[in-house]
Amino acid sequence: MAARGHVQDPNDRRLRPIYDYLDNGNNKMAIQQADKLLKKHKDLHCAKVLKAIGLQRTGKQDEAFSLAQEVTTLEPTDDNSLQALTILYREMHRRKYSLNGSPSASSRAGHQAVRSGGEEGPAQRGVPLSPLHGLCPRGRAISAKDEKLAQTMFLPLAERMVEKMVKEEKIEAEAEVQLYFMILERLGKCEEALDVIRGPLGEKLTSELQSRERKCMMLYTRLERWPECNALAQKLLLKNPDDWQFYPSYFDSLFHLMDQSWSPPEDGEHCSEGSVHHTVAEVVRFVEERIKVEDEKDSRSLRGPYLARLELMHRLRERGYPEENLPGEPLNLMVQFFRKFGDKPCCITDLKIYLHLLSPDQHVQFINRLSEVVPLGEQGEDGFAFPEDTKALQRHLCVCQLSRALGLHHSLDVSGKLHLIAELKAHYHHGLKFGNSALKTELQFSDMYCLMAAHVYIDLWTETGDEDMVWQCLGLLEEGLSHSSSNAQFKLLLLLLYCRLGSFEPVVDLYSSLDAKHIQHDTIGVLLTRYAESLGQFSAASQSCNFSLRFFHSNQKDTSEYIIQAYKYGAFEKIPEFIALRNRLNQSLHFAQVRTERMLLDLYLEADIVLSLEESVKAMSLSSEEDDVPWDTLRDNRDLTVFTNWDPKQRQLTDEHRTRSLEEETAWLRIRSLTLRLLASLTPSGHAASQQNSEMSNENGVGDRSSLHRSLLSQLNQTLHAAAQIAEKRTQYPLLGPPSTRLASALSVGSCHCQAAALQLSVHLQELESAGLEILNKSKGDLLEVKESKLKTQPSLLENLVFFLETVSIVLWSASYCAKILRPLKTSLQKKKKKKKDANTAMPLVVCGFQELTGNLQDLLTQAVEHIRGQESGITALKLASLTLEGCSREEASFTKAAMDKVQSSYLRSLQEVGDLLKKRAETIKNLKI
Amino acid sequence: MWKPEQLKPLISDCSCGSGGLVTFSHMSSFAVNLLPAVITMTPRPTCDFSMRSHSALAQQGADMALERLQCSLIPAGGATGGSDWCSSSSSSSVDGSGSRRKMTSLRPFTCDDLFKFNNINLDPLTETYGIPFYLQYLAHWPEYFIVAEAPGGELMGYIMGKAEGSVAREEWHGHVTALSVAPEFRRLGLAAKLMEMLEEISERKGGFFVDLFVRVSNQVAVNMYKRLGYSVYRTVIEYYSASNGEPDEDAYDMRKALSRDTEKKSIIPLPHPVRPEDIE
Repeated sequence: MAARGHVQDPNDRRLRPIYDYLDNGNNKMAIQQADKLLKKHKDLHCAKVLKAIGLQRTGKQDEAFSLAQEVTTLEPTDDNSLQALTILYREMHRRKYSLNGSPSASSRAGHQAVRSGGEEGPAQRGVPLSPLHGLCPRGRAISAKDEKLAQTMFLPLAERMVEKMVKEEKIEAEAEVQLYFMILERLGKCEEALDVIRGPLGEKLTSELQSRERKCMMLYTRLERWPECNALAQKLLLKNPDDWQFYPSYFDSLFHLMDQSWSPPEDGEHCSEGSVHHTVAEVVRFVEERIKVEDEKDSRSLRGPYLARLELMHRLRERGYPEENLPGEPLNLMVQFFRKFGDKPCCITDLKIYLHLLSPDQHVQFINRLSEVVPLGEQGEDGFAFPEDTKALQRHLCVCQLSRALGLHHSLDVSGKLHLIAELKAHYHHGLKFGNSALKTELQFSDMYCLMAAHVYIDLWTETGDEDMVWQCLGLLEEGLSHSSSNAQFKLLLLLLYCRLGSFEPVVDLYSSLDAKHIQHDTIGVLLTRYAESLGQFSAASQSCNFSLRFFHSNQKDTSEYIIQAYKYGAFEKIPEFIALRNRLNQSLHFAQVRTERMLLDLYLEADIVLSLEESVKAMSLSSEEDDVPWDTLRDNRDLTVFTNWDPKQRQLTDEHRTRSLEEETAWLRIRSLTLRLLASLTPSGHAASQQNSEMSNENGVGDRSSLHRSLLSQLNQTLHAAAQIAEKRTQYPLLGPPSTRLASALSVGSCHCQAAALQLSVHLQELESAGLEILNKSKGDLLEVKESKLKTQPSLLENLVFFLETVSIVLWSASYCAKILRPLKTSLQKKKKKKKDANTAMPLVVCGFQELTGNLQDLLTQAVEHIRGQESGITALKLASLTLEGCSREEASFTKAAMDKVQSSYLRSLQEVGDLLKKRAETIKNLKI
Repeated sequence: MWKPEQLKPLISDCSCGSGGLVTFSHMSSFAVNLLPAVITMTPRPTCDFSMRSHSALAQQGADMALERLQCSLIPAGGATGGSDWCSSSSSSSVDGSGSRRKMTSLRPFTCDDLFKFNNINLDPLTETYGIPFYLQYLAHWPEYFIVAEAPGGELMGYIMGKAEGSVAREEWHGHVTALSVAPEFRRLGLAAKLMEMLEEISERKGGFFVDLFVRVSNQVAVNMYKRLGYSVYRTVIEYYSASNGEPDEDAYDMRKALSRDTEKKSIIPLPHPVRPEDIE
């Protein structure tokens, strides 16, 4: 309360009681007080907003909203109103989410916790949003998830607030400028944003290097101000010719200028950023000049300008410009690049993106030209010549890598490949001498030869099916690892090959030696989880799922905390980024997979009889109603490029592969998730949620359950259908790309369909049970009763009873047919059990289901028989004689009574017959025992 | 094992007036938020480090301690840097002048980079921290977290650092928390370039020096830092905890004076080694 000490404004004094009422939760009084105040001071906007808050909090959202709109159109600029509006919008926003069915904070921790993450921003956590004087809309503006709301409410509001600060010259801190820029940018006000960045406020952006320049460039591009874009890029490249990010801007702006036939003004500066290069010739000259500077330098040259020349050529060719060869001949340029930078490990990475500039008939020539500049020693007995230092080794290695990237390895025949392997291995072993003294944590210089030889082995294995190749490959990699124990690529490839061979045990140690943790569980964790369970290593599977789950579950808590910190420290640019990170993790495909697989695994491992299925489902808070997978927004966070790979482009992973892989993973996940939910629906506790939720449950819980089960089944069948189509495509991914899912084999072995059929059976059982009950219920009631001294009949009840009898008979015949099938199954199972002396009396689901069915039938029949017995005694006890039949003569009455007696007697007889039959049927149920 | 820096002294005599900020960071009740008084503009710090107030460093200390529990391995500071110079014979390629630059895009590290940095972080000397650790640096010192990206989109390396220390005691400085370069992008001088950038940012912030910790055994890294102008300020006994029963390892606290420290007082070596708990 001390904070209020210096309140001076008379309006503040007037508003104070309203604040107090609101603070104390006395919303009604707040509204009244606001009304009172508004009578005297019509223009006190803040009072209106405070009233709207009161209305909002008393559930009058519509009134609150229209009042808020009214105030918003008046564009208030006073702090009180703005602040109050902020709070109002925030509360409206929050409510909107809760209405939209945003996850309740239900206590299903673990499996569910993560789902609440999407919307809950710091605002909702009762933490002040902005470190800058508590101005909330600005924080909300940049974190608002609802773009429309942000564009129409929060951002304009925030903009006005900051504009006010600017006018009053109150903006002093860098973060405030940063925020102002972000607001303008998100509102699409690029011109204004540019003015801020280029103006005096922009000078405050000093923390981050090149922050102003980068922002200017981004805005010029968005505004399509190509002359400025071009001139600025030039300036920046002059300053640092190695800064790659500005080359694309420089080249692209040239093309736009050419498209527009731009020409410089006759006098004066080309544009506000200086002179513009608007012809290919000028740009080529600029790049050549940068190269000349590098060539003439005493110190080592920068690679930027040399690569820029290739990039320019690539872009010219892409656009079909006739000047494409103005920078030179690609082959010569690349040889020149290799001469200068061939001894750098990244030379292959640099050149491989420009190899397409060579025509196929130049490939061999290119490699020959490169080989000429690789200094090798004398040829040995085996015909191989080796490099004499690490630089020469690196050059030689680079030529090998480029050959492979050009497809020259792949076009070799089997003996050619074997010879290549021998050569690579020889180079590998020779090169080990350069790393004699290497520490455990260091790589060997020649490791990449070893890896490449392994790749050629894999080529042979996949092409010829010769398993000997993969054994030799494994041996080579194990040898490599023994010389270079921290080489992650060796480990990754070994891990992959072991999995492909179906052996998971070695994988555990390999993976753990990679020391992958935290976010790496999401990006490469799939290497473990894909294979552990499917290869029957259940405890490893559980463990690897747990590692991943622990990471994902902590994400929620972790990220929220730092969103608040980013507010606090004014790192506003990071806020949307953190929110995006949280979403990306929450929506991770891998997260959904491990969540589902862990639960399935738990069921497979723990729950083998009905009772413990139920217990497990309960323990996992598993609910068949809830689908916790964000199907539409699943994010594929796998790092599919983690394997080093020098394959030619046509053998590399394509976007098509990625799409297919995600599609396949999603289909398989859907099958698994539906299976899990179907299993949950087999148990009563799997429906706990619907029983708690009054909206969803109805009196007939069983009906609800079976309709849900049925809908899940139909979803499963649809998914299986779609999955079969996916499997038919037989997408082959590169071996170093994503592994296929278990989908295709699950379909071909028939397990999917068998599981679906088993789950279908339970639907039928439930159907029988509930339908039977329904018929009986419809047969209940008094066939004959005396009401207010009048005799009433309900003959339809009798008819219903007969329907019931007929149905029961048919059900029983079908049941006995089932029993005949199931009995031998059960006996054989029991024999096996006895042999194994297994005390556990686990039975397949179907047997248990059948036993449940017969039990229920028994109950049903007993109920029916009792009902009939009750009717019989009730009808017998009716004293028809005592009925007074008004308005009848005595004689007439005696006829009527005789008729009544006949009906009564007939009913009794019918009941007796139906009852007898039912009793007989009930006795036969014993025979259904299996 | 990473050890948390001692942050206490910073809080007590942080000279950057943290003004209203501190107050706000502790106001959590909605009622307070509603008060008109809150809206009144409060004076803001105007020194170089304005928005990155140190007022919340106490909390940060706690966070870091938590982080420490999570990190099973290796380095803060220079230890990671060492991995950039992994091979003993590669040292010849390090001239330490920082003049050789990498053809590359140097840009702020973003959260999405976490999904792409495996080629850098699968290195045995590079620690993969929990998300909170990265987010903390991104939230407090985003300008100190820089990543280098190759034209093909591969991440080449990154540096992660922070600004800390008391200005009054002339201990305000830049600190290198992690520096790592992917194997295939080594021997290009990229680490030197990243160090140069961190030094420039620290200059702009008016720091007196830049410091880092490095394993005593990591001679390659130590030599590299020496070439970049760093010298050993003190030895920190058993700074790196070993996980597998091996003895804990000492660290060098290496420093390089910035222009604000005209007399280079900050780098005068301490005569005696210190213990981790004595580090400020």
